[in-house]
Amino acid sequence: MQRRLLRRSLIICTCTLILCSPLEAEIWNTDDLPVVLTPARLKQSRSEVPASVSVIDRDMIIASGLKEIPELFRLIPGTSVGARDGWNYVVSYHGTNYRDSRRMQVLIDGRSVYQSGLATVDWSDIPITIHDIERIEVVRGPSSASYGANAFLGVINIITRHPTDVNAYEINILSGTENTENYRLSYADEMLNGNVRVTLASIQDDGFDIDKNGAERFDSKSSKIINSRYETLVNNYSISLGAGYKTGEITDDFADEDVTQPITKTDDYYLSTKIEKEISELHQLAFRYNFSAQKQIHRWTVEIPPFFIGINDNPSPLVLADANEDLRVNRQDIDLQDTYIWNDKLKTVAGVHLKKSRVSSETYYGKTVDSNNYQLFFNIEKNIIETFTINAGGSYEYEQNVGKNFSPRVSVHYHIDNNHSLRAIYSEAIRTPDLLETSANWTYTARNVRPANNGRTEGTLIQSASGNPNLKPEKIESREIGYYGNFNQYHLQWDVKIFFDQLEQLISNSISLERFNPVNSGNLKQSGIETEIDYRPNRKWLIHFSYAYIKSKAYSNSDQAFTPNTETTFTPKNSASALLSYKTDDNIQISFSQYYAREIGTSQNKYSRSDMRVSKTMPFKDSEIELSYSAQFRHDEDSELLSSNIYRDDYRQFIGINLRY
Amino acid sequence: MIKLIHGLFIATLLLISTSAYSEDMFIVDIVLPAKNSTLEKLSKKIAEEQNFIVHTYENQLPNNEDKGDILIIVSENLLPLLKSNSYKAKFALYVNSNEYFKSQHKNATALFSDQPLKRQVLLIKSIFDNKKVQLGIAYQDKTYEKIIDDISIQNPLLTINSYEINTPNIIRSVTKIIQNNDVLLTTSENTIYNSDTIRPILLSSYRHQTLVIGPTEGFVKAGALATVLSTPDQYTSDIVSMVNYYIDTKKLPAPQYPSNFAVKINYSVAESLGLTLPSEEELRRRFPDGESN
Repeated sequence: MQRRLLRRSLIICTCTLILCSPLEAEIWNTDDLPVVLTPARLKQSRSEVPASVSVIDRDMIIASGLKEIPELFRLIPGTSVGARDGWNYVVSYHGTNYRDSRRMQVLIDGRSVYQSGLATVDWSDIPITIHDIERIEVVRGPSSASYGANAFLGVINIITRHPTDVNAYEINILSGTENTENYRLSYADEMLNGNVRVTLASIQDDGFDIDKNGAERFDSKSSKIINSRYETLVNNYSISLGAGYKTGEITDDFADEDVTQPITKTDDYYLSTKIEKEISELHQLAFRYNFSAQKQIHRWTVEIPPFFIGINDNPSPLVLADANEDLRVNRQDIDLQDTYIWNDKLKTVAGVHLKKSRVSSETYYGKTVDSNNYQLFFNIEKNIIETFTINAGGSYEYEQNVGKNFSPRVSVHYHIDNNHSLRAIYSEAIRTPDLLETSANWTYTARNVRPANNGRTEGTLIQSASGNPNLKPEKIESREIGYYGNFNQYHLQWDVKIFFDQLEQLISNSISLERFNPVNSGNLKQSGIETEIDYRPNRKWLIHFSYAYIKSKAYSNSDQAFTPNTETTFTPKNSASALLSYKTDDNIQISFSQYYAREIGTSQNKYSRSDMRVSKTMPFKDSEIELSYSAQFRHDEDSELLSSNIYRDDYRQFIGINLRY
Repeated sequence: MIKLIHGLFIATLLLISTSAYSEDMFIVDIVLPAKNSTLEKLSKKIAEEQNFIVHTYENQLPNNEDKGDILIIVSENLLPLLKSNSYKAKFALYVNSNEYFKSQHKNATALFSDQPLKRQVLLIKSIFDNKKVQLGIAYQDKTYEKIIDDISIQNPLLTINSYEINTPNIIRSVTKIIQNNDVLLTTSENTIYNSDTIRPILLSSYRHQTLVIGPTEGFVKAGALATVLSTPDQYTSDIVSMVNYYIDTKKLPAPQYPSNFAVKINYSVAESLGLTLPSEEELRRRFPDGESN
């Protein structure tokens, strides 16, 4: 009996052990919890990413005290930032040509804000405020393989604040030099089984004060913004929706012939949709649809000799006429991306991207032009042996006017250990010529000519420019070796990159009516080293440092016009930034930053600026009030980027009030 | 004949032994929350104990005539069954401590499903290898105030920011804590941490690279970094010794947390956060002595 009992219990015991172990968890988890951070959703750690990546997070944004989004990129190694006018910022990793921000891809929550109409990223027309940003990831290096054409020198990926991360109510007021007056109200709540955030903002400043002759500059901007983000989860689908509208006005300096001030009114709107489906923990599908449109109304009156506009029978030496640079642009993107984890050593990402751009403008195009771009992309991440990872990827693109292109990227990582890796990357990317470069039909129609003769009140400017339909894409081949170290125990991250870039077929010539000559005539070699250190020993301290040394050599293999320094004047040989911030126990934050760059721009301007920000946060019942003072001091006497960009005062200051409830 | 007498003798002995068996043995009624092979195995495992006889029921108490002496209910869904007055002693196995203490229970005790906050703090110290770290804790039950104060006093290296959450929007309050701290230490309050809130909380923690510790193995599987937990075997041996204690002394042991526990880590989350962690066993070994194995 006893023995049988023993035997029976032994059998039960063994069965229990065998059957119990894999099911163990089930007993103890009576509520069925979903796996939220699935392997397919988890990102590669920074030591495995097949690119050099820099991050600007909210703590850095606040500590920097900056009010302009593009200025934040001064913190990124090797990134040139300059303002052509108070409202016209140019941001470019490794600089090159300062005229347009057209060699970087810029995304907001995955939506590209690259305007194909005028081939530029118009930083003042982005309908978000600096307070709406959670973090910015900058991919330093060509990334067409993941982001398609125009991710040429790099990618700026702006991630806005999640509706659950913001306070229910936030009010931000900033006032300061150059008539800066910024107001923002944000509201967040639960809605329709999800979370929503809405921002209303008004932004205004006068831009630069005087030009090189001491005359007043007209480069103010003022805009009203509304943007919103909604996040929800329906069954296995996570859905993000974004929408925004911006209406703004910028002023411009009078040209010799201008009678009324050339004011531009711009309306921007966008809609973005992202639906992610977790097919399994190892398989994720993401669908995106984005739409954006811009309407620009730019009308003014000029005084010109009538023969300029093809009117030869008007006896007046000068006539008045109305001109416009009106423009309508829109862009639609559809993107489908599949992430699949085959096993713990193999992961693939693949997808398709369709882009449709359309632009209408009497002045620039004479009609409506559009272009379609189709892209297939993939990346395979394979862990060969414990210490080596290979990433191989590429993007195959087709565009009517441009033809087919393939941009590959291959990287090898050697993992010294989990937190320290060496990388070697080879990548190619293209920038497809934009509609203005290929399809411009640029001239001005003069209307309401007065005084009129023989009732003829309309003419066409005799000067005109046409796009070059034979343009080929600009190409870059980049080779880099790098090191990334995450010294966990000190909360310190260190990245070093050494690079050799070869740029070909550059379209370098100025895109202005007088000198409109887009040709693939430029070549550029860039090499150098850059480094970035981020040290946050604890929540009180933040220390960030960046430095870059870049050697550029521009030349041409073509017999067509090319001015070498157009491709080198926006690349300082040395540039550096440092940001240091400390929070005291009684909610006082003090931060200092220093930005430094060697000569850039056509007037060889140095750039050395020290910023400071002091703030005090006071809790008040369920809310917080923060008072802040920030100041910027230019050490050198140089203008900014161009010779007529001058602030009267070397010292610019701002006072801010922030309420959070 | 001799064989027959021998057989009869054995039969009598057997009869005597069984009657003695049933007279001395306590009958334990286990009520399971669901028909589930693993739960049934749990009850069988308790039944292996030779000090008492086990009858297993599902979701409800047996009829009065079948009732045994001791009741064990499993999971907090069955807490209402503790109201029954027909048992000398009632044990609630694997119930949330916060839920258990919400009402008074007569002649009852419990072995909790959750782990004490102090144990999770030890895990954090083990993970950070006794470095300075800033913790955020959200709670609703005011009894946590005292516990958190004690933890603060005992652990000078930890900066603890605790927040009593009384707003209707729990998620917004918790994500705020996530943004302002290195670690979110979860309490075992399922009014805060449940299947409705888990997704936004874990996604926010991931956005802000904040570590989430606890409260259960389910959370760790879903994407929290780590927790301490007790295995079914550890629960079985605890409940058996609690019942035996009662049988031997006729006194109910105090409601308690499982005495033995292990460490559970979600290594893929750790890797994605750029953390290199030693093995679960090594982290467990770093706990100070006195916290038994």
